[in-house]
Amino acid sequence: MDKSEFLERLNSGLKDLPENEKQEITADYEEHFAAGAEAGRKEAEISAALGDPDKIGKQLLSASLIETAEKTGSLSALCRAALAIIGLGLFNFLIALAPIIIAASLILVILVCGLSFVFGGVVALVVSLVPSITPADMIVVMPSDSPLARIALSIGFIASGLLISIGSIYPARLFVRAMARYFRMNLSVVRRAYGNEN
Amino acid sequence: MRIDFAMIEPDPRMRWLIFRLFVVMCASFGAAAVFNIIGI
Repeated sequence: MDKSEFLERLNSGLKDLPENEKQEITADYEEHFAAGAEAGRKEAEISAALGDPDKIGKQLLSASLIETAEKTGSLSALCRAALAIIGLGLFNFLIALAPIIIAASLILVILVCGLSFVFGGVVALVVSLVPSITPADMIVVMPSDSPLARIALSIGFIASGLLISIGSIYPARLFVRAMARYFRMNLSVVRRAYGNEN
Repeated sequence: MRIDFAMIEPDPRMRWLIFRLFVVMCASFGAAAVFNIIGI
């Protein structure tokens, strides 16, 4: 494989990366070729020594996606990283995605719980303020006979619902970062095994 | 695996919002209890 073919294949593996990162990586590999040529080695020899460009591209892409997930704590970045890692053949589908799906559902449960508190609070507030809008066949169970206490309780429910919803963001971020770190650890183990530290 | 908790700390604006929501929640539940006891 000559230099242009190597770089072309490497680039096609990196197409999802930001342009500046892609250029940096390409420049890096061009330097490898330049240094090899100076030492009197053939392009085919150098590319064989560098390794499979498709595999290198996939590894670099996974590393970059993992870094984004770790930096931003974004769940979608983590899912893309997980898919890239699966593409690398490092993990099978279940090992990479099962923990993400389980944690995402738990976090979703907290969020839905918080939103139900908000919804319940809004309904209770409206029913307390304008009792006449309650349909005749709907039974509204509210604690306390005092209207002011009902209104205050509704506002309290809305506030606590919002707090629970906001509270679901932080365990989610924590989880995304922990998973990204776990992926990165595994990726570096594989790189060491291949002797490729790029 | 070491997890850096500082990385997931809410930013100051968010912290202020959380604090205000917490105050509103406590005040509302407290007020509800008082209104319920005195019956207005």
